[in-house]
Amino acid sequence: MANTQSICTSFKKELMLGYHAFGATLARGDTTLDSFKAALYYAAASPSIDATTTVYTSTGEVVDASYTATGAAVTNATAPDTSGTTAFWTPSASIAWTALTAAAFDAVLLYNITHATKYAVAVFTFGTQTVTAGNFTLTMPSNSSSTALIRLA
Amino acid sequence: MEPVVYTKNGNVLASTLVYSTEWEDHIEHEVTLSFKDEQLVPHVTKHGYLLFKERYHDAETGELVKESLHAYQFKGLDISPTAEQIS
Repeated sequence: MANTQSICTSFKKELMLGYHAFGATLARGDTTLDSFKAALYYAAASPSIDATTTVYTSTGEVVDASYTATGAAVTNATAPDTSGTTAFWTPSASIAWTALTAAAFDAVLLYNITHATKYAVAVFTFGTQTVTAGNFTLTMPSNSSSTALIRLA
Repeated sequence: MEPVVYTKNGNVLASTLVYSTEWEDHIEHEVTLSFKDEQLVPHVTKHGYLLFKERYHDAETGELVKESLHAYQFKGLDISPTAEQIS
């Protein structure tokens, strides 16, 4: 079989596991996995929450007595995996808020809370929504190479 | 004992509320073709999200007193790394 130019699939998974540092990196206290949270943002958030977002911010985040600033915990019980040439990861449970009141929000920021800087991971949008004294549930896609929430293809 | 439902007005008797649901489809279908056994085979991938809304209105006043939302993300986001040819 001929040699083939490629990004190694194992490397994609290892990026998600924090094995590689091409520049100066942060000190890790141990080898355990990190914790993640999801925060809700108003559609009118300024600055907007998008690809340029680098860390969690309370600016533009939903504010209400029923909402805890910094958001909800993300269940991370399934380690990144690979299939074919794609590495992928999905939270292992829905992200949920209960007895929530929030108007005109449209985005959720997934971010890392293990490190004090609270590094951003991804932003997902779902149209401008309002919840009144109700539940808001974000159901995760199937954890596969074609649909997982985060994929390195 | 009659069940109660938590609303913006606190816990109220379920019998005083009108429950309704609504689905919102924000799904896009991406069709890709591949060759298998010398035939073009279509693959359909769903993008976007599906919303399920639950609402409780006060039966007397019609006031919206509780609204829940459930969003199902069909597909997440991807990053496509590329190894450049070394010249």
